[in-house]
Amino acid sequence: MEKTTTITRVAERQAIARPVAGVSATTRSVIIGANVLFSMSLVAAGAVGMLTANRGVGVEHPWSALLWILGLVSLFLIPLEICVIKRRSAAA
Amino acid sequence: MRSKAETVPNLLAPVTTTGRGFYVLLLVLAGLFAWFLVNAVKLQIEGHGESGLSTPVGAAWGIAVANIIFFIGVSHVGIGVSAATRLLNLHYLRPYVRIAELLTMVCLPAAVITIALDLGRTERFLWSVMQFGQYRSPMLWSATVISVYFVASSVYLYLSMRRDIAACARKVPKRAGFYRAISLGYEDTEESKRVHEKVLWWLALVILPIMISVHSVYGFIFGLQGGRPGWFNPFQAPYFVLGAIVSGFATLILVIVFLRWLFRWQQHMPAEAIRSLGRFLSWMTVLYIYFSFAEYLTFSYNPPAAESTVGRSIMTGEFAQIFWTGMVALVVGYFVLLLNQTIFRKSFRLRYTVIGALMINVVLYVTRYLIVVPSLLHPLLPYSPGSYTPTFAEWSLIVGIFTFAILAYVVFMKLFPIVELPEKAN
Repeated sequence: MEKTTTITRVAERQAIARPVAGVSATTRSVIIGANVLFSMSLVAAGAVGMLTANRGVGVEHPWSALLWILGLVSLFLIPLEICVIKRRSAAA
Repeated sequence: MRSKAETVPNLLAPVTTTGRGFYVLLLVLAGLFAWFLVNAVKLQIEGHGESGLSTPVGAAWGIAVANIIFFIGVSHVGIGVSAATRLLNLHYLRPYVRIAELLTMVCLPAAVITIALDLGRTERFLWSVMQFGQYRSPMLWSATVISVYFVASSVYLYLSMRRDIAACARKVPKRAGFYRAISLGYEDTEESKRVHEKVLWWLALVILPIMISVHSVYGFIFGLQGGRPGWFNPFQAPYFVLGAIVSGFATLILVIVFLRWLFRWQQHMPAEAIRSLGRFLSWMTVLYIYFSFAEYLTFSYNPPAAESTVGRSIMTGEFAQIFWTGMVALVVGYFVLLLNQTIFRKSFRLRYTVIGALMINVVLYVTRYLIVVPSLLHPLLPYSPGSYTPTFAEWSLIVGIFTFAILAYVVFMKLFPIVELPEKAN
């Protein structure tokens, strides 16, 4: 019993002493928000570019399709960010 | 009864043990893949003079396009099964979900490579679609949904196996560094598990409609061509989705049964769950038979002249032998499954499920060939009908694509657990 308590205390002390990996909740939200903004900007730029292009009268918006696809694809990094970016624990 | 401690090494057997058979298989696959690369490079240099695909008195699309539809179809079911398992809480399917997810991850690139090679000058297609893609073009829809589906599926697969990758860092010490690096600091805490489960649930919800859209787009590529007899059909998208479900489930059953036999996972993968998959396949197959019946009845009853020409070539002409053999095999495959999975449940045998699934899979591949080729051999301009026989170069590419898919699957199985490790193991 005594031994278990000692181990727990040592672990607690180490946890307090060691810097806890992770970012604050605000930083995490900013990263995810930036991704949303970036992705939606690409999607919007691509969609508007494709909708307004009219090659018949010489109005071209090259690479709009690429922007559109990259925007949609980068949206799926958000689930990854939610799981991978650790929040700093309250104890830290 | 096997204990948890015994089960985990058994489930990690493909990762931890490497027999002589593995190296022989790897050598054979690498040889075939090298042969494929030679042919792929030749095709890029010499164009379709090499494959023999041409118009107007031949087929511009041949067996490669049938191959694309097949692979897209199989990729359809992988993440679909996994997502449905998660959303509907089908716990009995949990041991099979990663096998299914991996099918998506290898079949989707296989389909994309086939598209790239079928075009002859791949770089021009990529350049044109990315630089001047138009929102009205099904080709752009295809590029969009395939890119999104591939990235979404990769994220889904990674998050669903992150816990197991972290566990591998402890259980496979010789590759611990590799596993630690790609688990990106995963900690197996209750909070972490809760977050992952929640994110995966939402991701599954988003992936399901994307998955439907992927095969629908392939239906639209054919179905929206107003002047093309045999293709123009409002039914094409749902028909393609249904075909994808049928061929995907048939392939999944074959892969599961093979891995179960190879690694002796009978205890971990009960036959009862495979019976459920087979039962679902049998109901989807009967629906597909009904769709086919409706299509060919409309095709032959009182069609316009051009439709009639294509229909006759399929049902009574040069493709009749393939068509009727396929249809008979489809019905026989369906009855084998129905009798084995549903009617004579007490005398259920896994081998009959495999026979049924194999027959259905082969027929579905052939059916895709019949969608693509007959219409192209009857030109819209006043030329006489052409003929099409796949060339050696085409067969080499098809074999190469299958080799790529198998090789990718084998390499993945060597690196990561193909079955979700039990909770206790972590």
